Amino acid sequence: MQNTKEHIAKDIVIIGAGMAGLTAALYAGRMNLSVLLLENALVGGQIANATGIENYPGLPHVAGRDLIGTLQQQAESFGAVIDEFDTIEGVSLTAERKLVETESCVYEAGCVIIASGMERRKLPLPEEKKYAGKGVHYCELCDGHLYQDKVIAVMGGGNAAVDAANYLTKHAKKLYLVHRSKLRADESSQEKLRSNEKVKILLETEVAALKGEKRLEAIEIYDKASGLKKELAVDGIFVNIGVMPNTDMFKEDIRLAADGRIEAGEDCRTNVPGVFAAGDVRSKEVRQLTTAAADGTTAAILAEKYLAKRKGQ
Amino acid sequence: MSVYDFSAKTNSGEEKSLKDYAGKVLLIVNTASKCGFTPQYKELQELYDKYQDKGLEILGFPCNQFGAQEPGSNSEVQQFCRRNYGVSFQIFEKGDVRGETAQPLFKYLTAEKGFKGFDKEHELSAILMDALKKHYPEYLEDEGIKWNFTKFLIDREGNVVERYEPTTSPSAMSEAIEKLL
Amino acid sequence: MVKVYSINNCPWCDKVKKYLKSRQVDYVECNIEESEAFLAECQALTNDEAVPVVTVDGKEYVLGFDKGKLDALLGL
Repeated sequence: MQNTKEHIAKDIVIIGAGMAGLTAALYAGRMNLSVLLLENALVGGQIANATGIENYPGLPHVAGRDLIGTLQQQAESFGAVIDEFDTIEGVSLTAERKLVETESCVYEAGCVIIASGMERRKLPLPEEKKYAGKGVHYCELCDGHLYQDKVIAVMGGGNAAVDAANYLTKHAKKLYLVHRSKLRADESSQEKLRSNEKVKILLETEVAALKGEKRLEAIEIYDKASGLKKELAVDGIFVNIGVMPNTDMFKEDIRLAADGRIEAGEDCRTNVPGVFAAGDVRSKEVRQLTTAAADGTTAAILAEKYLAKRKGQ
Repeated sequence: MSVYDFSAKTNSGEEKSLKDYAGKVLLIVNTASKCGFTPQYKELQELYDKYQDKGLEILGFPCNQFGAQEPGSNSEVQQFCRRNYGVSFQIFEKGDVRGETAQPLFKYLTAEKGFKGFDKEHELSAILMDALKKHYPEYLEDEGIKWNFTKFLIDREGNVVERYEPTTSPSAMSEAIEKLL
Repeated sequence: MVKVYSINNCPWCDKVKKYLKSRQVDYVECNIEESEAFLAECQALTNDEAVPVVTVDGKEYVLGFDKGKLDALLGL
């Protein structure tokens, strides 16, 4: 890590401001710990924009925005600091002092609670960012109309991908469905897609590269059986390759389960002392708002215990 | 009197008489404005794609009078939102749909077809009922619009044929629409 | 003058506005759902209806919350 950045000490750094992270911040703040909560995207995470939450105990109908707004104020009123503008660049968690490096500084924490949740899987190509919104899209209903009478490729083989492809045939002049293995979507939607003459399905095919001057003009695809690469001229691609836990940054330091989530039990303890995992990012069976809140609570209380024990030694 | 006696401003500010839709089957819906999509938007667009050629028009009237409904999903993956969600049916200017300030069209529609209760089978019914009782008890006392995505089906002569509550999803309306087409 | 084109209930618009406030950047909010004039401006600028859009001179703009691009645009 760079030494030029300012080092700032915190009792607890929480990564991710969804339900789990905010609840952890609330509890840790109440225990008079210095708490920093970092968020790269939206405070509120998956429910930032949910307009009707109807399964949160005691609140028959609440907008995500209102629930999160209240919770954020509540956490801040107990002293937690929430920074949603700094960006985390890297972490080093295995030593006793945990380091979290952001764009602007390095935080040194006694404890780290990882509550980074899940996100839609992005196309795993470095040039994805260059073309995001300029030919690379994730929401067919938001952006499909931009491709009236154009050539579209859809990535993915699950229900979401095949449904997106079926929807996009209304706009596309020609549509490719590109998937690296076999289709997993329901037979009926597969059939609907196959019977459309605009559609060409390319299975056992990977996307190797994105090409284009200012916006996407073509994709390079790789046929796994023949080993041949070829270029496909497209105006836009829609990516629907599932969701994934946000654990990439932690995989060097923390043991992950087979599904990519962080391995930790109901006590939220990871294999590294002083590092806890809370919410959807933790490998567990039930993932609800209430269980995220429960994880945040558990992680904060056990983090406090861990810190107190360290101090006593 | 029929729906053809009303007019409304489209979202691009153009005054449009509903007479212009004479001879079409209409679905008039009060929609909710938010970033991302509700499943009902998607299903309405699907209905429109399916039946537009056969003479269906969908008219969306955005309204912010109700707490919005239904969870969104696409907001995290792209860091922006889009006005009107890219639907291709006609969206009108935002306005009220219930109470004193309601647009005349909606006063007419709710007078023609009153509230007959929510579809009890639908998972939202009980929750919506509870929310209304708690936050907007007065909404339950009249025939007015109860929530976003109340849908009115109009035949080719401009008569109000049916009212569907938010608890009926657009995909369940295909049969009724086909009958009128 | 910094302009932010926005719609209602848009978390990314909120985030951009909060970010500008945190950096003491004065801006004018132009809600394209509430005003036809703003909608026309935004369409002319971006050829689209996606928001948030931030612009200083009405020519260069940034779509969405992209901190790097916003900082470059605003000289932060």
